[in-house]
Amino acid sequence: MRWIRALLDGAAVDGAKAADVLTRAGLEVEGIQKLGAFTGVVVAEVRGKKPHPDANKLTLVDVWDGKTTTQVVCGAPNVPEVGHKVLWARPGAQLPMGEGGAMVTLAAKAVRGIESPGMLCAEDELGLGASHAGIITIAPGDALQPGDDAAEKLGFPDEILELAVGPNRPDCLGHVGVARELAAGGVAPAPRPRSVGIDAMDGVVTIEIAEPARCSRYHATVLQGVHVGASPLDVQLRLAALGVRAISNVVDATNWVMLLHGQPTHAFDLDTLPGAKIRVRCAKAGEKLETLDGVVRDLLPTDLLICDGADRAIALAGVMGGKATEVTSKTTRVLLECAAFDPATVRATAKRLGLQSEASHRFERGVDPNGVAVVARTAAAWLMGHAGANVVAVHDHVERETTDKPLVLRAARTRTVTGLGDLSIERQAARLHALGLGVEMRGEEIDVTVPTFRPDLTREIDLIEEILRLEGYDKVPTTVPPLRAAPPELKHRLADRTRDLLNALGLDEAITYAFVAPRELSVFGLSPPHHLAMRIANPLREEQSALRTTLLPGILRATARNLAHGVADVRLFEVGHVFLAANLGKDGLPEERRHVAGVLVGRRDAWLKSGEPLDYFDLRGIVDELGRGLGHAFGVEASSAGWLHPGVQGALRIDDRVVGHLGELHPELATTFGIDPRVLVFEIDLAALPKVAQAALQPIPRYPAVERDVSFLVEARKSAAEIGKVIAAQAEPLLVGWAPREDYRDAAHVPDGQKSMLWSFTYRAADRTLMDAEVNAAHGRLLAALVKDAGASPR
Amino acid sequence: MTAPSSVSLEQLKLKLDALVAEFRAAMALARDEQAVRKVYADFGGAQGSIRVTQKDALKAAPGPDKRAIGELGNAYLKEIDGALEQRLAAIVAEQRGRDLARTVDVTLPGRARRRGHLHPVTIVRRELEEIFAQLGFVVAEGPEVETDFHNFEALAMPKEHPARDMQDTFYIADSDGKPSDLVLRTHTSPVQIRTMLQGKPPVRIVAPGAVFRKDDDPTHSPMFHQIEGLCVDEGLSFGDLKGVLLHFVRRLLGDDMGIRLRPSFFPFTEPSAELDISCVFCRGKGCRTCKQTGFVEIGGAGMVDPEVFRHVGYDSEKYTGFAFGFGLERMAMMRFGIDDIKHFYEADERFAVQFEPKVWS
Repeated sequence: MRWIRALLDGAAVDGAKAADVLTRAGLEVEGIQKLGAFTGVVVAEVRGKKPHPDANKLTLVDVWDGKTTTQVVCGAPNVPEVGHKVLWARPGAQLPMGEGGAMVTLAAKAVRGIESPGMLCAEDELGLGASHAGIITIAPGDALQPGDDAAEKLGFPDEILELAVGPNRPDCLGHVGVARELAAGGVAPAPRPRSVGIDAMDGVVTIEIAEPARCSRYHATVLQGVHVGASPLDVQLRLAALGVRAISNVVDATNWVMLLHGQPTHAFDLDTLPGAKIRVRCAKAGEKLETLDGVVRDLLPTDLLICDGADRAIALAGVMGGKATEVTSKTTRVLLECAAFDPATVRATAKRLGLQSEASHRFERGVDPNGVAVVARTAAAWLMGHAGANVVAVHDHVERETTDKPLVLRAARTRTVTGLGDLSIERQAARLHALGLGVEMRGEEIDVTVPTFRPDLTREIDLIEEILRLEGYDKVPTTVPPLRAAPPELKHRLADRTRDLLNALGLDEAITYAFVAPRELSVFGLSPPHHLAMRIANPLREEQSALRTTLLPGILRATARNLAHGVADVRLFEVGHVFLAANLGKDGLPEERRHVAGVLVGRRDAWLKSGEPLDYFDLRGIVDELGRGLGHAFGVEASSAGWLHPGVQGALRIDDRVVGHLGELHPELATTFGIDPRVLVFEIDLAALPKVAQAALQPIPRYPAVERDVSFLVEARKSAAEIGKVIAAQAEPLLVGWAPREDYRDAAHVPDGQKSMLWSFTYRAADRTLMDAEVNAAHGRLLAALVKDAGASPR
Repeated sequence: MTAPSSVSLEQLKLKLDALVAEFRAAMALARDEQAVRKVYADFGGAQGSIRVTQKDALKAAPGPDKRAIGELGNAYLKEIDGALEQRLAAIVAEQRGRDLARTVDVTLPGRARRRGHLHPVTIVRRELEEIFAQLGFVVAEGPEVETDFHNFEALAMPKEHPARDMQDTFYIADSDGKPSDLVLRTHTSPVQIRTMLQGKPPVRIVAPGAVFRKDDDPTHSPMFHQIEGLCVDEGLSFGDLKGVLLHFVRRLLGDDMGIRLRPSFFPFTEPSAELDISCVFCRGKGCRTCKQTGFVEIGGAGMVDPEVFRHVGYDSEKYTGFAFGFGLERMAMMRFGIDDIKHFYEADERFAVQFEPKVWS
């Protein structure tokens, strides 16, 4: 905030006020951090030091505060040589070193038998950072003098605002842009542009840009007489507070201007280059570059490079400099780069190499090409002041002119879109002007000139947004759109109806991930088109790399987890999409079909005792009722899916189409999923269900029905469905219903290979009470058919 | 067989008295309706002793006596009919009394009738759909695997646009395992594009569904759910967006709720806003959940960017529109006090049975 206030000519704005203004203007403030809340700390010079007689890690330091010399005990390993300066917290000093940053008042105390009046401070003890590696030391040349009050001279306490800046606002990636926003928000007059004049340039830099589309402007400044050393403490602490480590005055200068203007710069050691020549081109196939971090990078022709006069790569443009041309303590001549690179190029390279940095982040979002000269001059002036450098050459190479953008804003359009019906054109113009935009009113329109530091403003709508956010969203009156009737939609209702039915049938809804482990699908051995799964190129983990072609893996995994947690009764279903890589549609999208699947494990409900284990017929009952609720009667026939128990499974049919399966999960598969007890499962392709016509009322019978039962022995293999077919084939006009009532196979009472069945038949006529004789005749014909066509022997 | 000899009226009376006494004794011993009727049949039935006695006496009696004998016999029959009715009534009363003496332990649990439960995300989704349906919004759906065009390009996020970094994306692998042009949709916004490409304005949809981001930590899940709203019409303004959102929040959470829109950035809306609602825990007074601000963030919104209209061929001079989106898990977490997003996808039965839809009063 100290920096921001300086840019706003010392306007009285604190962190809370700034946060409020910025939030309402659309810059999200993620936090406000207190910095350097200390008092009673002075700059002191080291006048002498000797080891503590009773502790080899402690040092006795004589410090001079400009008036007197005092002996202080210090535990840090980096007590500087005599003549250097340190920060001394005297007894009575207030330091934020308590629990959670609470203030502690320092008192003189004895350390291993020797009295220590106060202490020498490290970063963390002053609330300036987390470092406790050693005490803060001040280089001899620093402007801070012994006896100076540290808080006063260094500008503490201060506050740091953490902003989340959207990708549309590169201009707010530097303090200058944020200050401009604050000014537009009304906390201060607009900041004045500052320019630094630099004279005396007689040297020559040559710049050649081979990729005009990827670098629109390259500004180079040559400095000589550079003394590389540490930056003043003030600078070091400011950088540290903003998360940038101080390295040397030259590197610190580049970071300093980047944080100020949002424009990254880079310093090359000019003595490592064959002359002051820069060439910007793309990498050649197979080219390599060792970057500052010591890693040799394989380059692609899409990477933009900075090269020297010998066309040797010296930096990855906008991403990272080269090791060979790094500024070191021996550097005396520097070439300072300040350029505008193509955002997409920087982004692609930084992303591919995993080299996202403060610099690449800013280039990716776009820097102001017309700001480079100001930024370069600021950096150069800084180096002249802090590193004794002088500028010998400046070359500003404009490959492609970037001009201010003219836009037209219709004042009436602003009112329509925002709903601020009485927003005057003058007020609109004033809002834009506050943001540093050029405005000229012409009738009901405003001619707007957008400076290049706002690349996000390219259309009328962008200007309308600027006006609206500065007016405040809360100023817009609340209205409602005109009435419109909504037509119904069907697919969605089918899914929700399915959920309601399964709820009523006792199953709980699950939602599991759409991606599963490839093996969880392959173990099912599904047949086409469910055999092929889409893969995710960049999964979080291998177990989440395939898109499901069946819903079962997710709920089976959930079942196993439930059982492991001691939940013995698991009844779950899921309605969700499966993805068929075998059926690619338009645009190469996999076919997505909505399925419903369910799983049952445990026991039937019984009263005051534990029930019998659930079996296939519990499952069948649920599936049949689900079908009826959706308007369908499923036909079930024995099937041979590999993932189900070979003897306990069926295919669900509607007409001639298989729409799903039900049965016991194959025990091998259950084991794979870590499930021990018997698991009953079903899965239905909801998308395959035909449309159902609205059911019309069947008349309520007016005459009584006659029930007749038949008991017979029949081959055990003869299925109920087959017997039902024999009955249906008779097409007896009076027969309105039939159902099996018993299926009895006890070997003690039934011959081997046979079963005893009881079926009941319901006869009724719509227009009269039936006579015994006509029922007997019909029943007799049915019995005869059962004997003849089903091999039944009546008992 | 000899004809019955004639008896005097007195003799007959004595005999019938004896039979009635016998009947009453037997009747008193009969404990249920069946036994009672049996006793009655033995005495008063067609072959019963009283009726037979009367019949015999009638047959044997000389003509002038027949009338008296008939009357006497009928009087006895009437007496035992009365006794029968009485006895039957007594038995019914006795049975009712026994039935009423029955007790059960009403504190024992009932026979389980297992009822399933909706997932909390489904519960919240339906409530939202219902509210927006009242405003004329139809439910629309789209695929979960999307093209780069629908998920990004048409939403004003061209390739290499930094806004893509806001949404870490899962890419579908091509045949070499490399990222293809297909993605798992990172938001429900592509449904906007599909809807607008399919039809002309006016448009009024809500699009609920699963979305995917490469993110996995205690507060993020790689799959979660959003509901997206889109309204395109002639003359819609930012004020209409505010009105719809305010109506929605008040219907869902109560008429004392307020909303706050903060400027924000989404590539496909301009102007864009974050939507805050009054904190549901303190009703806007300030508490720990809302960090004393009285508001919590629940979604994003904005006016449809003309660039989006350009991609779908709508005339942005004639039509304006607004869009909004919420995270369903976030709303469910607020609604039900769920503290960990992982709960939603583990299908733990102990979690699943805890949630019921709101009953509108």
